[in-house]
Amino acid sequence: MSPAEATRRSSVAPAVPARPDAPAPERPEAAPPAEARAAPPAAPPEAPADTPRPSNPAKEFVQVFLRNGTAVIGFVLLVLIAVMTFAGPAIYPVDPYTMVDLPFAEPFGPYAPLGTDYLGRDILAGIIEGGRATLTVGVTAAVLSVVIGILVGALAGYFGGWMDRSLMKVTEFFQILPALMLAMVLVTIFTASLTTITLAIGIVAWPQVARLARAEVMRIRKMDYVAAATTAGARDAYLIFRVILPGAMPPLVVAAGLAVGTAILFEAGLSFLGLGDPNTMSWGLIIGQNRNYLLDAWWTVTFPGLAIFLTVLGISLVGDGINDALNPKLRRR
Amino acid sequence: MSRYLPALSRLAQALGLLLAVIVLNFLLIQLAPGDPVDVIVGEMGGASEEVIALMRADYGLDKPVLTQLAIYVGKVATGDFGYSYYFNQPVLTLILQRLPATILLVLSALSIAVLAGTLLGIFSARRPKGLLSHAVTIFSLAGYSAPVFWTGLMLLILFANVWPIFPVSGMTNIRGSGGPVGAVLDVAHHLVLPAVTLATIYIASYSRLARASMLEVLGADYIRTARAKGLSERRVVYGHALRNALIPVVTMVGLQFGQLFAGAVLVETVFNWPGLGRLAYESILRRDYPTLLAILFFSAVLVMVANELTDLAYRKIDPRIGGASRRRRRAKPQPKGASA
Amino acid sequence: MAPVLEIRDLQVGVDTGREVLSVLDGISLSLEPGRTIGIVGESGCGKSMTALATMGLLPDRFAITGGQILFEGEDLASMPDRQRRRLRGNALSMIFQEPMTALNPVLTVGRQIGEVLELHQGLSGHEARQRALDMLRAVQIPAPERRLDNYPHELSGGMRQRVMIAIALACRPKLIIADEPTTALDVTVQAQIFRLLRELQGETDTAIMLITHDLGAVAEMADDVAVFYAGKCIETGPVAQILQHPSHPYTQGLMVCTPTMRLGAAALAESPPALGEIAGIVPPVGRFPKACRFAPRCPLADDRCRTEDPPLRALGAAHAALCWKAEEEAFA
Repeated sequence: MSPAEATRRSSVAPAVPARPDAPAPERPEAAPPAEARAAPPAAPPEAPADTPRPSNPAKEFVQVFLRNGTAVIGFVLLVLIAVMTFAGPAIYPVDPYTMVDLPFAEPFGPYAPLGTDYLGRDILAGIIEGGRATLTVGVTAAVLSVVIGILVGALAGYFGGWMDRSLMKVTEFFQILPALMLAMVLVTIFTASLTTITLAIGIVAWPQVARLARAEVMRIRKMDYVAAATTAGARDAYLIFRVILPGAMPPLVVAAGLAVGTAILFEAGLSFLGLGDPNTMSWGLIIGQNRNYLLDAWWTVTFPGLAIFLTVLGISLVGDGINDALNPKLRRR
Repeated sequence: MSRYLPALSRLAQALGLLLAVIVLNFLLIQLAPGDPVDVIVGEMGGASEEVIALMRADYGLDKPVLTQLAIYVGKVATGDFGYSYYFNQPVLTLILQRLPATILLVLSALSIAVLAGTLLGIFSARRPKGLLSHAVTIFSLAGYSAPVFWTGLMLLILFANVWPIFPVSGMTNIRGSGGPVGAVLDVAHHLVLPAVTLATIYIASYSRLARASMLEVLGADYIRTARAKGLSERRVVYGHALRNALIPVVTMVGLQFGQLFAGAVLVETVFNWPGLGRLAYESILRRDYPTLLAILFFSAVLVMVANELTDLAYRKIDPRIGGASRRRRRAKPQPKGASA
Repeated sequence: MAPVLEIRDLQVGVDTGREVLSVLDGISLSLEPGRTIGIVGESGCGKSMTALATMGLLPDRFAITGGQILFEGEDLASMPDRQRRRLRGNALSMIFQEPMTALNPVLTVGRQIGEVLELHQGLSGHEARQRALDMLRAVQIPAPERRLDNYPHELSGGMRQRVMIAIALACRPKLIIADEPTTALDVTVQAQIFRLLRELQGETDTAIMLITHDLGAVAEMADDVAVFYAGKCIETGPVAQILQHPSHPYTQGLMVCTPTMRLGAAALAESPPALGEIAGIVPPVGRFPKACRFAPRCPLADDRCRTEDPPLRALGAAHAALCWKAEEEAFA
């Protein structure tokens, strides 16, 4: 059984961090059971339509990924967003913090292509500038939550017993507290800054990664090569980090990718509630600051929201693509 | 006695978790810059040293931390969540006022999402290569990726400016008239946009899940048995497959209740829906810690209640789950053979 | 007597998207009331496909591409689905291989049996429940009243298979197709299930198509045998005839591989010519050899076997084999 398949096996339970306000969990395993019905009971299914298989798994992975149209669209989307965010200031050198036109200048006007906000600041420049904070928070918080999640899950899954029980109790505790709610409280109490926001998101978003990591580690722990390493006298830390976790990586990588999307949505939600770092432009902040005027200036909230939407969409598409490419059962579709 | 043991142990576990939430709240208060008295004094616009000292003593802030914790736990246990100086009301009163609106919103959104999501999922599973199936896939990706507050804002702009058939703010019209029936209709009218907004992402999620689960179930052996009985395709799908396909959806509903509740905070803020979420937003703006922490506490209680209810529904729907087993655990296959 | 089921030159193909591959090629069978035909062969030989084609339950992308399946004189293959549904579960029913998964986990046993009675015989819920109880008694389930409200997971594998049989027999079918009905069960339970099937058959004069890879089961249950190989029926005949004088080299090979069958009728006969294990593997669909499909694995194959389709040779009353060498071998 391949790791990706195991992800599917690990029941319909979530395998991926949830977004603040929405579900994501089922996505890696949501791919429909491909040949469920088509599989003939008697005739060998692999017989027809055999194509020569490339021997290099990495190459094969890339090929399968590239054949997946939507995944490629997602990838292109992400590249465009990254270019816009990090090379944008050079291409479009407008200061996002200064007034370039009258407040609420309509989009597609002479000075500001996407219009201006309530202070007459350029929305396009704001999106370019805000992308850096949003993406940075997203990636950093995702890394944090994935590291916590993997540590907790690996320890629980590897040692089992009381360690498992107590760590799972902690996980359960974090799961009954709505994640966005807890992040809101944390940021409110510790005053909003990029650091507190990142930490808060990292602290609330790990439980589902932990559950996934635990399931994977428990599965791999039972395998022969782990037993072999144990017999050879490997220590616990070596077994966990060098023997077991590498095998558990594929689904965790997908989960980590999706965690970035989740973290971006968290950041946007917090900023929208006025819990963003007021000194740093971010997509959520632009929406939050302009939302009182949205009936007069729709563009102030529409375009930054579109940026968030396209980024998370890109991440989901790529995540799905990676997941499908890792999952040999679906390859023949 | 032993019959009640599983229930009792679950109750004990639930109480343990709640105690942990209370302790967390207490820690957060301790860690917050300034103590509650500073905050209150700030709200009151200043007070003399003696009054402050008196208040400190009153709050037990001059006692050791553990004593303070015990006092805090005792207070919460008796329903005393403190006093909100901004709203000028006991926090508990405030929360109980706002709770029904949130529960109404969350349950409406959940019903819409489960119903619409499952139906879409089933229809698309019956024709996996059809137009609807592709539409469901695209919609579920889009629904997952759009920030819920943004979806709300877009609907708000649409229905306020372009197509004003639904109210975009609040829960009731100020000029209330038309008697009890009119009042219910008025609330329902106001409920449409927030509930649909909150439901969107879950429709996306459930339709995708229901589709996958239905496809899997339709390939199951017992579906072939049902067909072999000569049942019509409709009866095969609705009589035999549906209940099995719903099991993962029910599991997901339980697991996502917390997120749904968090989503309600954003949606209530967008549409000025006077629930707990809106209250949370207001207390963030006012740095009203007691209210904010009480909301955190109550959201945990709601999530736990929702989990128990899902568990019940789950057992109702899947006879293999019984006794003391916890949610989202599936029955193990019976050993083969045995005596006939 | 008029046959209940007569399959004539049945062709089934699978659409791979690029081409239609032949899965079953020219299957012909005949089955009379009260008799049992055993269909044997390795997995992938097409025996389950024959069953599913007869039931009209072929999986997606599989379709009947030629021939007839006459059930009481009416062609199931060309019958509209609505009409075929009225027969299915009624005059024509099937017992599946996996009692563990073939019953719906969320419906009670009583419901699952009663359902067919309500559907096909128009019984009310109460009557159907009564009849379901009778059926549970008929299949000798202990404490049937209690079992009626049980869910499948509360029953053992053997009991579940009895429930499957109760479902299949509820409407007193003319034909039961049993696809490896005991493969998933313990040996002792297997014997009980077979005895039960035989008893019920004696009472109702039902014809049984028993699909199995177990020649022992065939020896115990069947009157006639059809041996399948790579989508073709390569030998048919009365069970004693085939077990004593297997003519097709493949049938002979099968027997050598199945020592248990010697406990049956063939134990009385002299042992068949030893061929050792059959070398090689069953060719997959789409890679069937031209001419004789068994030729690449056949120890007797010569050039003719590899270039020309073998003829169906009659070898006595109702005994025939699809082989160039059959005659010589059978009486050698």
